[in-house]
Amino acid sequence: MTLLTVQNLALDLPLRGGILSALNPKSRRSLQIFADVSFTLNPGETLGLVGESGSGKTTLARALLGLTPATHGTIHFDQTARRTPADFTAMRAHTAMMFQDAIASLSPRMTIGALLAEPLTIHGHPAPKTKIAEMLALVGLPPDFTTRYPHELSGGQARRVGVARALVLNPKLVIADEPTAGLDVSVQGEILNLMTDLKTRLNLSYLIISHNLAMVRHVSDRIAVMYLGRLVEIGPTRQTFAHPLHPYSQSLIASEPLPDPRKRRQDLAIKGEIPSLLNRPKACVFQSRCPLVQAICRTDPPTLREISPHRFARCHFATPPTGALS
Amino acid sequence: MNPPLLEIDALSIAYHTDHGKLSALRGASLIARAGEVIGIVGESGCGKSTLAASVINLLPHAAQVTSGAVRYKGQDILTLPPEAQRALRGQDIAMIFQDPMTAFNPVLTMGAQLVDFQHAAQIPRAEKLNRARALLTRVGMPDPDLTLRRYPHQLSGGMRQRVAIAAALLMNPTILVADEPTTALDVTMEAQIIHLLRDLRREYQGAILVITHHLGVVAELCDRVYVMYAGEVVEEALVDDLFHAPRHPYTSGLIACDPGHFEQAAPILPTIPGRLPDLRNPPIGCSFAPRCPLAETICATPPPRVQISPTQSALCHKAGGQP
Ligand SMILES: Nc1ncnc2c1ncn2[C@@H]1O[C@H](COP(=O)(O)OP(=O)(O)OP(=O)(O)O)[C@@H](O)[C@H]1O
Ligand SMILES: Nc1ncnc2c1ncn2[C@@H]1O[C@H](COP(=O)(O)OP(=O)(O)OP(=O)(O)O)[C@@H](O)[C@H]1O
Ligand code: SF4
Ligand code: SF4
Ligand SMILES: [Mg+2]
Ligand SMILES: [Mg+2]
Repeated sequence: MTLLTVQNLALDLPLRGGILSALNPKSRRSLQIFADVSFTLNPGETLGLVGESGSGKTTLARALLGLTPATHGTIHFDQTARRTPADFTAMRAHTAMMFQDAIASLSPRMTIGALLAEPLTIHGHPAPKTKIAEMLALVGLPPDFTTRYPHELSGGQARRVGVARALVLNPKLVIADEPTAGLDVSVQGEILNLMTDLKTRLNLSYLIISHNLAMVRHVSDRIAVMYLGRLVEIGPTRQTFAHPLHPYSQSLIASEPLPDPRKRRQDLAIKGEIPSLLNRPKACVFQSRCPLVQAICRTDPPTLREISPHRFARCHFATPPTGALS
Repeated sequence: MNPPLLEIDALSIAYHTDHGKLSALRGASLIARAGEVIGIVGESGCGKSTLAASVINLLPHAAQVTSGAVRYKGQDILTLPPEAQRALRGQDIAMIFQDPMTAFNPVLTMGAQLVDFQHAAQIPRAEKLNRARALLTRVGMPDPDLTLRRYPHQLSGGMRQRVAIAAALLMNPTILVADEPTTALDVTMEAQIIHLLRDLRREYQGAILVITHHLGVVAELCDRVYVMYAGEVVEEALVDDLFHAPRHPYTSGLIACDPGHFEQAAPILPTIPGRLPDLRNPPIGCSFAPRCPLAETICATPPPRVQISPTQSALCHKAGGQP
């Protein structure tokens, strides 16, 4: 049984003011941030969400928790449809979000102790000092941090507070937006090992959004790739990294900088104009940069279809990989 | 060899906190020459951002420079009058901040802010907007015009980061300090920014200081690297030596932890067990000793800075031996 089922989710945001509405007064235009997003997440599973900056990953995460309401589509959590604000409030007692801007998301006037107590008190639980100290220890911070303020922390320390805050309510699902951005590789490993350990102990599910492909590869069971508001590929992590099916996933994986100065690259992996939400290409969203583009890509929108078992890609020409790893 | 554009000389900085004085930097030295891209790496909390803030003289109030100097073209900038500091900051030295959300005013549009940042330039507003637009295009922003009309919260994390990069470049700085400039970017965009910074280095003959936890970015972009630990520079090396012949045990540990190295997915990622020492009471001996696999009794005494070659040094009792 799945923990989270998302079907055909779409989200538009209003585009207010400025030249655009002056040029086009008859409609208050809105901007489609993402559309046609469908996927499932099982209990105890980690799904890694990667993709273009600005493709809608954070907005999708917010929509899943009802923080920014979706425009179309359905969300089921724990076998229950979530539509109204009350549904999402109930859901949020069992979910947690780790935000992308670690320091900015911590209220500057609250001490770390108060920040860790807050989720407990909001949901009507007691927040004893021992619990706060336990959470700090869990993420490797000394107990005297309870009296510190966010601006007194380094970026990495603030991130650990974010992890502690996310886990304080014993959630079933944690949505982590760039959980290790700004952490050195050792602390990054520590936090991911901690998250993995808690996942097996508590049967947690994670949706991890990250640009750090090396990290996502190690912690995710499956990965989903987003480009300009569409999921373009989803599948088991190992196969997806070994043989990405969608041309965007292929160039993404090929662009990763390698930790070896002898392997410097001179070329940019993706060429072509970066499209925008304002003039999202018709039909295939990747056509303006795709090396394989054909006439049909400009007329018929590709659907996310199963190319080989458990592997889906949104491309007219995706074919099953050949060879051992398929 | 070019004379240094920037010279950080045995800089010590402490923060006054409710719990005592915290020594965030302890005698850190660094040199950047024209045309160089310098990498600064090290554990979270080791003082990288403090070092960066000292270069643009934007240390928080709680910070106090206890000794040392920061020289730009030979002149100590920490002792300049505030006016002169501000002028330097506007025109010669620019910074891309670690947390792009905090770099912008939430109630002003990006356009207004990008124009404001050019307050020192004697050119009409329309021209300032044009420059902003051109730079937004260069950092890979789709729809520069729409971006100029937007507020910070209406942009994605990576978009804010690219606008922050554009903002720092507006004044053609001689020294660009970039604190984690690509963490919020996807790798294709990151590659584009790396290429942009490489080009800029060539065009401006300035120096770029890049602080990052991403060793792949260091490998792709930097010429020389400083490794910091607990407020000290523990190793200095050319980028190739850093990855292929590191001499400080912390450097080796850091490289070994990078998940970018492993072909196979590892269920447990390697880490360097232990923590940074308490910087309110820094140890007398080697600060890495409690975590160092090579530690011996002598490590309880202050380690020497061993010069391994003209371009490489390590702060370690055992760096003198064969690697
Ligand atoms: N409040 C808002 N109002 C208008 N547009 C918004 C708002 N929030 C986000 N957007 C737009 O939605 C798009 C997707 O943003 P989102 O933050 O979801 O991207 P992302 O995939 O998380 O990117 P990144 O990897 O850079 O964090 C962007 O074009 C952004 O400008
Ligand atoms: N305003 C402040 N007041 C008190 N202590 C501070 C302040 N800013 C930083 N510190 C402390 O100084 C030390 C160095 O912090 P700094 O931000 O320079 O580290 P960093 O190397 O940039 O870390 P990160 O990689 O996590 O960004 C840390 O122990 C931090 O807690
Ligand atoms: S559908 Fe066409 S343009 Fe789109 S990714 Fe596939 S080949 Fe490229
Ligand atoms: S001085 Fe000793 S403890 Fe410190 S890094 Fe060198 S070997 Fe390790
Ligand atoms: Mg985001
Ligand atoms: Mg920092």
